[in-house]
Amino acid sequence: MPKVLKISSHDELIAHIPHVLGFTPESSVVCVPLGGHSPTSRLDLPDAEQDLTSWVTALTDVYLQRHPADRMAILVYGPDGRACIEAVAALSQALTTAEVPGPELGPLLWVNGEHWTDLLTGQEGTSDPMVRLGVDAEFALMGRVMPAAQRGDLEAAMHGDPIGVGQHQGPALQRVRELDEAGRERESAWLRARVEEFGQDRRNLSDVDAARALAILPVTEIRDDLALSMRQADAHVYSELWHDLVRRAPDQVRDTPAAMLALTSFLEGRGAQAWMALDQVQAPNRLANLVTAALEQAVNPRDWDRAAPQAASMLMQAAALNQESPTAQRTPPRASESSIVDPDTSAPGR
Amino acid sequence: MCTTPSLLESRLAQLIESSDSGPVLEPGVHIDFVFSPPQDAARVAELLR
Repeated sequence: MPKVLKISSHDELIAHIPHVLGFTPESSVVCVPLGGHSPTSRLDLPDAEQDLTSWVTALTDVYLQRHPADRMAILVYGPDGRACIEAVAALSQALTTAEVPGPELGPLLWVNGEHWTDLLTGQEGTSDPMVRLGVDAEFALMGRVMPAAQRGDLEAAMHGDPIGVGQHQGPALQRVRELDEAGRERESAWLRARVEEFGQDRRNLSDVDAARALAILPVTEIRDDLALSMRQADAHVYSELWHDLVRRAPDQVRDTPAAMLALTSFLEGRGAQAWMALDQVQAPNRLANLVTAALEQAVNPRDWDRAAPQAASMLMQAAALNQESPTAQRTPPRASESSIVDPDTSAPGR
Repeated sequence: MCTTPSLLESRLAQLIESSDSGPVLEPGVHIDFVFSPPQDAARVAELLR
């Protein structure tokens, strides 16, 4: 049964936002649809007045076209009261005067540090630390990680020490280069089992196992096998795993776990972390391109599971075709025919 | 050079195409979207009621 946290004051709404976003916003607008399936969104305030029109359009396209909402709260964060009020005024006007019906708006809050102002009623207040502690406790009881102090902290958390894994990476990569098809299948089975073990005990992989996983993960079939067997509800577990590997991976094997972290973060509905993961991908990467498109188009990840059977069916068809082909049965591919993704050559530019 | 999308890439492309319910949003705008899991939907519904 879903737990319901009743939010009944401006203080509680403000305290709720960092838990939704994963960080405390700065110089941003945050749109919070009330009810329905529309996403919460955060966007930097426009840098200059001439950017205001396109800035407003980006958000109205979302809430008037892609994900219409019946009711929406808007919070604008920043120390510059004039810029904050101009931005939220332009946005609320565009939402309420469009040809298509827009959401009922309210409250509209300007948040400057601990101080807030309700722009519709003129009511002002200071965030109550006890209310914030109460909301923090509610989320902690649900097992949620406490939000980062600021958005940039999400990016900083993706950088760790690659030395331990790096000591084992060379031999692990060499080993993968020498694998035949049967060897790759064994590695695939090992990786699936290792990921399943992680899902049960949540203990990070040893340096040796991490190097082995990072070496085999860029093999397209193995990467896909893992990702396609994942349900949306499990995406947070995979995110933990990829996040740890991104932190510890040497540069040469960091792109694939970063793209996978972007994918699972998207599936979790955590847009900011997905963007940060995409920023870690250095070479052209087709999976990263697709996650970028999904984020830019505000795709709701809820349909991921619904499509899984179709993907599974495609896998089965591919497997059946392989079995029907005597050539495929008799002739294992040579190592030089390995389908290891070479990010420098296999994908169009991002 | 591999130009055929993999199964995962095809699946994600399908998800993007099937969710096309409005105009294409401006590429390059990095909005942080948060799609709440189903258990959170009820939470937001209670907001300020």
